Amino acid sequence: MKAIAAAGTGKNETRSFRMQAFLEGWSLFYENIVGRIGLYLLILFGLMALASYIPPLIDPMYHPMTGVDPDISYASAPSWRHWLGTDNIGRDIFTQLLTGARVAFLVGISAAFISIVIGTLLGMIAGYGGRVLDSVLMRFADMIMVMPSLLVILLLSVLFGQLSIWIIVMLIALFRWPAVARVIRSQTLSLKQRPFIDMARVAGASHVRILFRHILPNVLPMALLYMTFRVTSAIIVEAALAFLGFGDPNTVSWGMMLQWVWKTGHMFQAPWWLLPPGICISLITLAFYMMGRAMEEVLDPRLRKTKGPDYAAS
Amino acid sequence: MPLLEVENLTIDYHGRTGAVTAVEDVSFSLEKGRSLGIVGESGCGKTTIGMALLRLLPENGVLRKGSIRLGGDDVLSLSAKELRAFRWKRISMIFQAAMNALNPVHRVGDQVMEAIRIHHPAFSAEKIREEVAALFDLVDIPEARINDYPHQYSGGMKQRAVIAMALSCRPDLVVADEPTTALDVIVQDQILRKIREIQDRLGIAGIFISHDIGVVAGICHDIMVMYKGRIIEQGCREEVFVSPGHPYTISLLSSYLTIDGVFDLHADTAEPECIPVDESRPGACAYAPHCPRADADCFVHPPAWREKSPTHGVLCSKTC
Amino acid sequence: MMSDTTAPDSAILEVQNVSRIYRSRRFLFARDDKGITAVDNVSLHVRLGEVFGLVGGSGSGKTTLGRLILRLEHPDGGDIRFEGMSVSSLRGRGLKAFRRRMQMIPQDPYQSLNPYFSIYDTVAEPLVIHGIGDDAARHELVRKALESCGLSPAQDYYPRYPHQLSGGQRQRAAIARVMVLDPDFVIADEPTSMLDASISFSIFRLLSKIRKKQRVTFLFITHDLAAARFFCDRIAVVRQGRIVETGPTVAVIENPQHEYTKSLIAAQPRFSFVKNPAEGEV
Repeated sequence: MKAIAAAGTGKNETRSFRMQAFLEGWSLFYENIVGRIGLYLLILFGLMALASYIPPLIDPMYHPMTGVDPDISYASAPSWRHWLGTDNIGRDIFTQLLTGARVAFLVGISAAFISIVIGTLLGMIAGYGGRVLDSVLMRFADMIMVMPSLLVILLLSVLFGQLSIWIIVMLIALFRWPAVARVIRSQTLSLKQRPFIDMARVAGASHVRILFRHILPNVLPMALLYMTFRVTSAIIVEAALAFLGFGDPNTVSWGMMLQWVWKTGHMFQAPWWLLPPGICISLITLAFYMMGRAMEEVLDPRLRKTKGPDYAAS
Repeated sequence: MPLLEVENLTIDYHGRTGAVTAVEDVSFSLEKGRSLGIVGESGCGKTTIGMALLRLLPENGVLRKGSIRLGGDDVLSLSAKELRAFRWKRISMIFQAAMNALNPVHRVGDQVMEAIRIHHPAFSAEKIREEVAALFDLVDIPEARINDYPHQYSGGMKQRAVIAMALSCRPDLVVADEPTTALDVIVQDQILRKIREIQDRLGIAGIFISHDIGVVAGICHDIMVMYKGRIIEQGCREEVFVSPGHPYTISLLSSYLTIDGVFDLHADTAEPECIPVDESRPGACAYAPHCPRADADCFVHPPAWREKSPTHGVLCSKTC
Repeated sequence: MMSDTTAPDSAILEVQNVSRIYRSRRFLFARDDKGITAVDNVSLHVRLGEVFGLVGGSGSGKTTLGRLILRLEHPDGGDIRFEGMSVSSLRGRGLKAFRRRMQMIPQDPYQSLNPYFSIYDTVAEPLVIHGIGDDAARHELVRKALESCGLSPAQDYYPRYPHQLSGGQRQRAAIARVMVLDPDFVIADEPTSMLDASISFSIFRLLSKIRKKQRVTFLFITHDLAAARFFCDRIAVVRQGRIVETGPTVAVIENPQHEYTKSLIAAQPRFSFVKNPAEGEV
């Protein structure tokens, strides 16, 4: 379409709906103090995750898992050499904390992404597919939703021994899609009634085309919103598993750090070891949650504080 | 002295990207018992005027200039408390899509009673009940249906119940914003007749806002045509219909389909084209890009207000 | 209206004793539920090349009848035949071929265009679906369709999105999307009810222009007798799912037989005071 250059009297004339919606949404989001704090926190954690690659390059003793300070064999307090101190075998806690950020992002985002993909697909199919398919899929979703996921994962890890971090991610994703599917389904149900879907049918569009070309772009913003909430829950589940001793022993996550503090009996002896991972878990989940709330306000005008031209209220 | 006097009303909407003028320099007056129709396409500012009369502008709507006087009182200087008494008792409004204005979980009769009770705390329960019965009688809703819930009503009945509510405190002026959109032709006709009849009986002044000149023509004494926030033609119904002065009014009338064929007065005007309007010349006639009469002058100078008769004015320099 | 039930040879569409009943879907086994009859044993035929009007108030079942003919819903009884083929038996390829020939102009231009599709994509989509032409040919067809619908120069509109157009322009784009397939039969379901009066007239003009230029048969669904008079050759007046009166438009309007038709005509706004100002005193 070479016409783009020729067209338009104003510069935002040719912006796509997606672009326009994104820019408007972004400025609304950015005006929201909650969303902005969440975003800054996430950027901070993102920098931590990136920085986690640096310390092992400086000195092998800064490797979070295997690097041990040869001079220290007890839980030492913060020093110039170890900014946040060391654990009981002389590993650097600051490095572990940075690596924990990386793992949290990895676990949170990948688990959330998988559950969003499953939830969106099944939700769209259930909403679009008609009554029988809808009932079957939604009852299945209900069954999974009422299962106590943490307990089931614990049982599985007892049965199959230690689970790797990727299996844990998969399990979290598999237990967390039904809520997404429910929301996407209800969106699809209302979209299905919109005339432009009828118009696509009249034009001869196949079901696949209607689902993926017409419905998917319209439910995507909602799916992204739910992704931020799923990230929060995935991080918490992983931390809980690790703390209870069912995490991946080869991965340094914040939950795992807490588990080590507890197992080695340093709970009340080494606050420099206990507090950082605890605070980080709280802050990162809070950050994703705040982002989600701000995004929700962008997507759902009813939640906005500034009123539009809605006069019925007064 | 006229009942309602509006002078130089100018209203801006402040958006995220700056201010937009929705209503510019609008002046009109209305005598007691008469009715005025405001006609124009969507977005021309007609609803904004209605809201401003009741001081119901949304938060981002700012009344930049002008005055509104109802029965001699300055509406714009009323305090919040005075305003509560003023709305509904002196002036009431029938909103667009008014059928949604009824609360689905309360009986229709109770909702009307509530409106009376708030404004007349001294009335006894018996007196209020009588008032409600009289109101429902006025709008032709059988007494047996007073205690029904809104969902048991048809669209037309809901609309009549809303009218009853608007009349509950016997206001001097009723503003009706698209009172019959979304209703059937037959129901629309019934409602319009009813409003007209009640207005005559109670001597209430009315302002009817509509995009449909046919709706307004049937019930109003005076007609005011708006375009892009300005009044472009104002006059008695007959004057506006028989000798429309503004090219926009002419195109509105000539494109109106009636059952007897196209309204045939000025049958061959050019079809309005989809010309993107260039907003770079503030003050110049907003209709010029669509106007068959426009010349270079129209694009530069502001249009002049021409009086065709003492009651009939047109905002167009090219009208004689 | 009795003489009208047998279809002449020139009929392109025949609707025979069609009914549609909406049942409550709450309980799987509630079979005794009578439901709401939206379309009640309706028969009509539309001749090749004419404009047939379905006129009725809201809730009269006229939109449902349109959806049944478009095969967006299935009738609970009766048969709909398009050029002799039963519409409800169409499947797969036959259905797709039917979709190419029978099109709909939507009611609400604000709801009937996908907000994520540019105008070019909106108009080109039917061509993509039916695999018509290569890119260059499609480009040409889209341009022609847009320009014949009064959106010219077409290039200016290609990259725009529905939210950047006015209501009238959106409706023109929706009509271009329909006309790009060069259909034989078009159902227009209140194409102007969401538009301002001044714009709806230009849409009517566009439709009659299209009708003259391309040989299209129209089924025009409206609540407005005045619009029907302007546009239709024959009309059927519908009330509560039944046809109460049918015949040539002028004959029905000038000499209505059924009470409901009479009250519909009486409810039309008239400007009698204009021709006789003395009488117009209110």
